[in-house]
Amino acid sequence: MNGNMNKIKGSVEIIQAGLHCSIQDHGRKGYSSWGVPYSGAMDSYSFQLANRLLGNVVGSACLEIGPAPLQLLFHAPTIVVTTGAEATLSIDDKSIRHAIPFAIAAGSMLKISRFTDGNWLYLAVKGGFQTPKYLESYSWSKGISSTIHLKKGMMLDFNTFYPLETFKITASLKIQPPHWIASELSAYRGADWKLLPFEIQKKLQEQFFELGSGIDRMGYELLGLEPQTLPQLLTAPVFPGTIQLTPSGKMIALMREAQVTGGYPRILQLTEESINNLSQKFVGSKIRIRLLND
Amino acid sequence: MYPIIEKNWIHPALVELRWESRIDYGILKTQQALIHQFHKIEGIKEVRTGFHTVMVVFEKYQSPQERLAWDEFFNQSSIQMKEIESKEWKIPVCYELGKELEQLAEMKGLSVSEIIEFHSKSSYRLHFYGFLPGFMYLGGLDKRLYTDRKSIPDHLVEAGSVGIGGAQTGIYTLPSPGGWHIIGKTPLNLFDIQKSPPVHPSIGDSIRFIPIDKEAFEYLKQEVIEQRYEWEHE
Repeated sequence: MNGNMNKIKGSVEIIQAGLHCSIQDHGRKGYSSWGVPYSGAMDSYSFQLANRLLGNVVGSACLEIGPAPLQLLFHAPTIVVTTGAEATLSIDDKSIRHAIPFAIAAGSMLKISRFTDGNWLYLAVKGGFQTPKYLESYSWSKGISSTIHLKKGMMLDFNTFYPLETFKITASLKIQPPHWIASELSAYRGADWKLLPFEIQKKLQEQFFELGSGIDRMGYELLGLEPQTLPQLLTAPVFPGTIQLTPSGKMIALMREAQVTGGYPRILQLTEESINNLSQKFVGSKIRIRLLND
Repeated sequence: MYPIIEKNWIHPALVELRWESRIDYGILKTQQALIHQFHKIEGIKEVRTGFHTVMVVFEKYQSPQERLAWDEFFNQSSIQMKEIESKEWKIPVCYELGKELEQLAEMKGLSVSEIIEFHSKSSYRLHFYGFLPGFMYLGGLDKRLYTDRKSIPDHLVEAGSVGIGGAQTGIYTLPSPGGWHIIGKTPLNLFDIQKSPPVHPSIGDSIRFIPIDKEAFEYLKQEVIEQRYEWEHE
């Protein structure tokens, strides 16, 4: 691709570990029959964009960063790009922006602080992170990977390249508004939609719901419905994007780390785009459902 | 015969097939017969099962005509049942380590030894894995042991904990919050990512719980840690 390249192992050291940070790729499909969730990046759009901007192989491992300050010390040079949640970003205290690849040298510090919009920020390195694979995926997940969150002092491997000058940075994007601005989430009727009384079906299409507390890779809460007495159901399959209705009236939009089966009624199924959109919304956001027909 | 009673296309690449709502070995065999046919067909990305449901994920959106063809196919294919060659796996359980065993006995008006007897006498059928990696959904719990889940779930249930919740029994494979009543502990590792496959029992196999004492539990625990333990089955 780019002339002479010698792959050498490089690493980045976690100086400040932030919160809810983990290595994620496009997830592990094919293991759900053993109860293993897909995992993978919460906002798959931002994740894929980061890789594309660096010319990485689709689905290369990135660092998914939750909304708290993070400091990374690179021990080898590479090219980095960030996408996703809006935050204050710098390399060696020089401000950088999303969606533009930046060369980073050995000994340089990348800092992320002050998240202003969105929950999940993606950091990609050239060639993707080379951390251990578990069941064919780099994604960290409870019971699957030996570690699930970044800790101070950890080292994350990647392949560094010499000479760096052979990489011409050509890709970049104009600054665009975040993709999660719309307050509507598109969804199909879920497998148990027919169990809902007509008034609830109507409310689901008309009312605004509030995003409850919790930036959880397993599920997000949507509040606004009254307590329900729907029949207890036998455990059935669920997917990321499945919205369950619990007896308290709280709805749970299952996200990437959700278990593969569930017992609550499955009333809606979000599109992939809506999952990405929802993943970046702040607690307290008002959301409306746009019901899709086949 | 166990017919599909509903075919529900959630969206053009996701369909749910539903049987009558109960835990039934006949339904499991019918599901397996159907899923077995899928191996010969391209275009199916993933299949997930529940007690009375099968969900099929397609690689691409299916057109209305394609969906009709699939509905036909599902009808025809669900007529047989697959006779499953199944193994019966022995899972040692130390009931003495069940921290809620005595409470449960009191709740149900039974003695501790009766709980152990009713729990360990049965052969349980593995219907599917879910909830946690390696967590088995088992059919066959004695009706006398049915107990509603705890209204306030436990913050952390240890891996290896054997519990009862509703009409189900199962083993927590990872530390996890949970609302089941914990009646015992197994020294076995239910999900071993170092192995391929990471689980021993296959869908359709059965499980039998073998009561062991604390000494045996400690011994077997060590055997498991040192990778010397071999799962036993009939």
